[in-house]
Amino acid sequence: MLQGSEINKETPNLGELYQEIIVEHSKRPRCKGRVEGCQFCQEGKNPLCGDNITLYCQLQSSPQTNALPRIMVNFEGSGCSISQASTSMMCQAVSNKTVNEARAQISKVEGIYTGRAEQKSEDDLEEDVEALHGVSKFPVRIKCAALPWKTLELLLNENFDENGLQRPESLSCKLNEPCGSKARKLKVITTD
Amino acid sequence: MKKIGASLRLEFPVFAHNVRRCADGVERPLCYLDSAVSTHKPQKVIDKIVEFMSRDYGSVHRGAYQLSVRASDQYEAARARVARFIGSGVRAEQVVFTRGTTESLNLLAHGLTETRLTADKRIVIPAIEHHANFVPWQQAALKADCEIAYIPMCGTSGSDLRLDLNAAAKLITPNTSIVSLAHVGNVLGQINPVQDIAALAKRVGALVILDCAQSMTCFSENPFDWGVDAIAFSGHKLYGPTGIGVLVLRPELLTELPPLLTGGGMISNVTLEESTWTTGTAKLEAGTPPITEAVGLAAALDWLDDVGRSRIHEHASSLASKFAEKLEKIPGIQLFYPGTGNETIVSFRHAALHAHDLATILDGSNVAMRAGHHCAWPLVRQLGVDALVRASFAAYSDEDDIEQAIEAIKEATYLLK
Repeated sequence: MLQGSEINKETPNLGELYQEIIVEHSKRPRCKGRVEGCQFCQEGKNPLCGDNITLYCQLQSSPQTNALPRIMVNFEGSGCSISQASTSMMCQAVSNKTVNEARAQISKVEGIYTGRAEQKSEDDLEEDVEALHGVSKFPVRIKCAALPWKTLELLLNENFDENGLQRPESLSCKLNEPCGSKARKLKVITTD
Repeated sequence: MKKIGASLRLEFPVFAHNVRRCADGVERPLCYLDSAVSTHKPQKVIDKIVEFMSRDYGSVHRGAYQLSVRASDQYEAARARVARFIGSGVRAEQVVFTRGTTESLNLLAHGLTETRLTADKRIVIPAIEHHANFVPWQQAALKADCEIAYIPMCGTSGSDLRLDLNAAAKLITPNTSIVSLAHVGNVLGQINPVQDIAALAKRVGALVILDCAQSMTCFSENPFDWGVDAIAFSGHKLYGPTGIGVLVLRPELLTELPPLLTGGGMISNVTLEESTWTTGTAKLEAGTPPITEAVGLAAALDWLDDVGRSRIHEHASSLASKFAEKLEKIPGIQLFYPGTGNETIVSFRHAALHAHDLATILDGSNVAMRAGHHCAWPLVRQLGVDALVRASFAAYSDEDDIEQAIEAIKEATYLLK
């Protein structure tokens, strides 16, 4: 049996997780609110913790014909500051990008929040999303940061082909479709 | 008399292994306030598991050799120990070993769907149950196409955080077949009026099922004395190992229930055309059972009764009250705590700080608390919030835990302001 106390693992610095940029985005989220008439939407959830977002994506009209479509993404949601800040930063970062530029951004940022990419100091960040590097030191919180990026990846893959062009079968907003009907509905009794 | 609180911690090696130097350079002990999710294990339980695996391990009821005989004896002794733990009048033959409370409740819901539920019947459960006692019944109602009624709370704050007995009386109608509820709530820590609800159920001839996952560490009354027909609980919340749960049934119900799992050890005969089940607890224990875990559970029950369940309850509920009192004074904190003085759990949130962020910051001070919906999504929604932080107290908790946790919560609220 072990006697006495042992000092094990040092605590990672919370300041790296809650960098000023992240706290600021969580308090004043950008691109928040549903866009009426959005063309594509996708819900994303972390069921075990309850973080929940819906992304609304529209295509920008381009003055040039034959140009690749560019996207604008807004969101609604609730959850911890990391999930909400990450979503806010993502919407900002992919705004006005083509689908494949957005896909490249998704993989780049995955490298940041998982800690595979090189870390930059808080003063040298070129874009806000680089502040997500601190999340990599907190393995249980990586899923919070990843939520919007995984959700956007799914939205893009479902609606756009590998060249970044809209798939012919993906035309209407899923939110306007009737929900998939279950074979049988639960008979719930209340006192009301 | 055995020690309790901080001096009891010496029996739990996990505390010695988890002193941590925090980012501010200060060494802090482990402040473990998450015993409602799972308790730590005393050395005595760990030693028993190691001893059994080292000396006596064998598969049970299968071998002609000595090891199998010894293992079978200890496995069956564990069953008898569980029966004794629940109360006089309970026999070992009523005790089924499962993997946990969830499996026990699924076994019941699955079996009773087959034997009792038809479209004209009703299941009644509180709307605030843990998913383990919620989802199996919801799915059973879907399968049987029968009614499900949810007992509401009286309100969403303070002393209203309790089941509405008037509503329960209206909902438990003559067509009710099953009433299933927790003895103690896993989020609010409320102690449900089991005897009153059991009486309502008995009036209409319904079965009463009690989820004792949160209550077995603190209460020693025998639920079968209240008219309860089946109880379920887990070893890992009782200072015992994971992977072992218990389902105790009235003998008639054991006869009635069909198996959830079929396979080895539970058959009477198997031909190419059909199989028939054996009787008794073996019918519900297909496959190699959790032998080592059962032996570990028995050791945990010995340990628990040595300390004394009512003593643990008195100790843990008094700490919870003190914690709630201090917590309430921190600006921005909202408590979800019935405050009768009997709860061993305090759930709360901060107005500007999400529960997950708070829990991560607390971990920075070596304070372990659970954050989220606590596997009780319907309850958390009724409270009008998206997540809560929960502190739960146990035999090894003490006032120093309260100090460490309160200090960490105060610091967290400064950090993200």
